Amino acid sequence: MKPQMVTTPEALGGEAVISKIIFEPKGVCLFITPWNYPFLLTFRPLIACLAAGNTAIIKPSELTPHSSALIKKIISLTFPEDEVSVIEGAADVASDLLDLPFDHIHYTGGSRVGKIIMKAAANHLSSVTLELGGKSPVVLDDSADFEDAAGKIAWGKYFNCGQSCIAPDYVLVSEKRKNDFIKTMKATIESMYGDGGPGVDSLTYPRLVNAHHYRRVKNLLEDALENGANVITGGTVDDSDNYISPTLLDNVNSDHAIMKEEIFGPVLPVLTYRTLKDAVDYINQGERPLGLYVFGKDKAAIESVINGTTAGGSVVNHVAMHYMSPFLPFGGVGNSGMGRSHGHFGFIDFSNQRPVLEM
Amino acid sequence: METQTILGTEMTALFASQQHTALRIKKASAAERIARIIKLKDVLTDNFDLMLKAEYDDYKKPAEEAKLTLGPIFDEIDVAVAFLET
Repeated sequence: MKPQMVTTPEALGGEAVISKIIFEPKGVCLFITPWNYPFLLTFRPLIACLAAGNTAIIKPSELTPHSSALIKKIISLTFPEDEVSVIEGAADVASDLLDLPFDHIHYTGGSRVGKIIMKAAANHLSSVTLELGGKSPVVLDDSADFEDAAGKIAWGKYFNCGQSCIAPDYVLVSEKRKNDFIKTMKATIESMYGDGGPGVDSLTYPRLVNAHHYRRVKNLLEDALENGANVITGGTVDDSDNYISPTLLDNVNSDHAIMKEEIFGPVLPVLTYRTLKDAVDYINQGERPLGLYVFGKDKAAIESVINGTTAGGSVVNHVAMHYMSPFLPFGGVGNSGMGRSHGHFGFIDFSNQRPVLEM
Repeated sequence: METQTILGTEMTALFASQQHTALRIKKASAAERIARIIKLKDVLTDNFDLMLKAEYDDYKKPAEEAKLTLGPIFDEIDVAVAFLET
């Protein structure tokens, strides 16, 4: 909030001259927010936007209408509509909004729509924050505590029925320890969700958000099974309620459809590597992920994975927890997004850093 | 569940009103920004249980999971307020 004072080079007058950076609000910001965490992924970035002194128009997802209606109510109870307002609707409404010359656009969602947003933003040279997704891998070094890793991976994968942009997408484990991991992971999943999964009547396990997304994930699962993968645990589906139980898949390879797009559902493929370098090379063949998680006790091994790859963020010996800290920048790189959110980093994203030289 | 959408002309008018306001609140003090954020915090707190219910109604998200995901909103508010106070 206060101007940031910086050094003035001697050639510009040195200590006799004041150099400072003032943080101006960008102006009118647009939020296009997703269905998977409707409140969290609307209000958390909005706070940085407000702290920076902007106004905002929010277009929440039409796929979660109860949540969107409540977002609208909360905003209307808090702000006059010329400060912050909510416009409900589907893609046509988002398209109309994108015709307007917003000063900044914050979008959370998939990479395909992210590209549409960025193209539209280019018409007005609006700046963008794109919180996208991707295939976030988990790399298990042989030095990892598999029981500890399995519990954390299962939690991160099946939370919200796998519909998290930072959820582990797949696991890479060494050929020689694959059987140990599969056995531990199966026991962990069945301990957390029961032998047959949570069940179609479960009140403690979410569903896929709608039939379209359910069919997409189900098709990925069926394609994998038809092409040689096998279910270690889970695999129960129910069309009537968009239900897919927490599922662990073995014998998946990179040619399967499930390895060509972000799964965004409760299906976890396990792939193997011969050397850690092979795992790093495999990750680097794909798009840069939003998250990359490494488990192990061997620091050199962990560093070789972190330093050998590029990702939006990483966690060592856990998954997804970097999202929770307001003191770490959050965001993607390349196909997984651009811009940074949370805490001071979000404030900067919603600010114009204006240099002022007082001579 | 029906949603109300607005016409393009209304959208343009809303945008224009926000542009006008943006110029005004650009000069808002830290205390004024904090007050807006705290007001949001209060309304969010009042509607906490309704947020849990809405997520359940949308895709059967269990309350325990929903509570965990609402926590970071309040953490973010506290950090933003502390930052603006400095």
